[in-house]
Amino acid sequence: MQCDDVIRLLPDMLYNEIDAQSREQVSEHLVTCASCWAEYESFKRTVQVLDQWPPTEAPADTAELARLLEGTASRPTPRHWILRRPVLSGLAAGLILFLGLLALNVHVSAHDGGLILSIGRRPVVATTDANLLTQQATDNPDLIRYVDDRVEHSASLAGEALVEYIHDWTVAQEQRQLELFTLMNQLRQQDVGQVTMRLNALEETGILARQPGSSVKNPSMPYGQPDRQRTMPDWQPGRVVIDNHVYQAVYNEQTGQFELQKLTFQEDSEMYQ
Amino acid sequence: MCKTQRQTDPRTERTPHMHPLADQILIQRYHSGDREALERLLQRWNTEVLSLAYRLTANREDALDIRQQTFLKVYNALPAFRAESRFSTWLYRIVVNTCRDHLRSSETRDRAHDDALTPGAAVERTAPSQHDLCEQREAYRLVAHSIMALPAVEREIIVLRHYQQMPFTEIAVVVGSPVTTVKSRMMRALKRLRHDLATLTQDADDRAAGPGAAPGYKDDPHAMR
Repeated sequence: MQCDDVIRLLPDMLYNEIDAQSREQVSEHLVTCASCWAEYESFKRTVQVLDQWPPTEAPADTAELARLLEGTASRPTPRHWILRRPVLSGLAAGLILFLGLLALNVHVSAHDGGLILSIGRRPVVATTDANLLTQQATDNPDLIRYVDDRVEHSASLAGEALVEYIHDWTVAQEQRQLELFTLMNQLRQQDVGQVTMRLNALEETGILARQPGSSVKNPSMPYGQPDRQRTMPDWQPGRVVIDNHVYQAVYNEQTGQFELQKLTFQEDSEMYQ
Repeated sequence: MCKTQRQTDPRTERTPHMHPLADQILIQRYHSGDREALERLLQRWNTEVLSLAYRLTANREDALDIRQQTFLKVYNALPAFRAESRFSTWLYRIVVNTCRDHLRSSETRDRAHDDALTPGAAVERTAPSQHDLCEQREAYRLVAHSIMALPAVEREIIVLRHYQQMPFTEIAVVVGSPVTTVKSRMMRALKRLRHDLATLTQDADDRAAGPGAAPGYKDDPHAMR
């Protein structure tokens, strides 16, 4: 084992995440290599010193907290909005995604420089493309303010980072779709490496299903202009639409990673294969 | 769903009471109307959430706020939480993101960390003498300052790995970066800390080294840069 390999494995060594065989090889190297040994020992000392910052004690108030939380359950009256925000010039990706809660079927598609997210039959989307700016009532007006607030402070962030902000306001169903939305952004930027990494990470957390779920026929959906009707493809987990192409996340046994396969529309069956 | 022979999660082994199955059971019970299940769920994660928030902000009051915000978000999302997702990872993401938001807001940006690092903010350890007490206090302040001085992305990783004992693969998911990036940020953080904390390690070589140099081996071609 070379010095470079040992240095690369230092985090694994320091935190005991190294497999037995590698550990043995590293140890053998450390016995003979003074400089690597010195590095390792000095980092070990540093790590030990970190323990000199003790934790802060957690209050034993969880019963109270639980009661407080249940007391906050409220039903704000739905309101209709039009989001009137000037174009966020800082956003390179040019997209802001806005989600409502309580989604049943969430569909994401790219369309002419904007992105449409629809929940069930209702398009719920905010983009910098004025033509696509629509926004509908949600059960959580705080989310709107939250988005606005984030927009104020985060105009310089790229699309994915902004999505991260909104991310933790979503329920698990939307969480999956948001991740796919981020993937789409990455695809647009042709960052295939990131895509496979992200899909892998999704699989680790169980967000992205390897097996397609049941197929759901989606009704046609008007966008901003009522004359443009379009049939949505069958929606299944792991399936995204980008620039009128449908992609399916497929697990590759050999590489151990997910890949996005482009599907083709079968005219006769009116389904994507 | 797992594609490979996944190694047993070392965290599960170290802290068996934090097994992910328990979270799923509690959530299911809550959905079935067991109100106590919510409190038990919060109880399970109370210390971890506060601990993480505290070390990311070095401020107990802020950490308590963040804990509350986190639990509120969890509560709002519980009705639709899918059992297949890992609760802990999702929870940690919320804490990390809430801390990021908090640290970005202009109010906290101007506040000096010194205000927060009072002895009362941390658990006091008994020391035999005043001198030792003073030294201990200095030590923890220095460690806390050094960690807060790290770039946010590096701080998150060192806090999650060292204080929350989270494996690198899980950290990668929580912070949303590849594992390789996580590890390289980890090393950068450790280099900075090695330099900043050299007085505590009492190593002259560490102190002489800059944040990016190897101690005492400046001409060594294998020395880390």
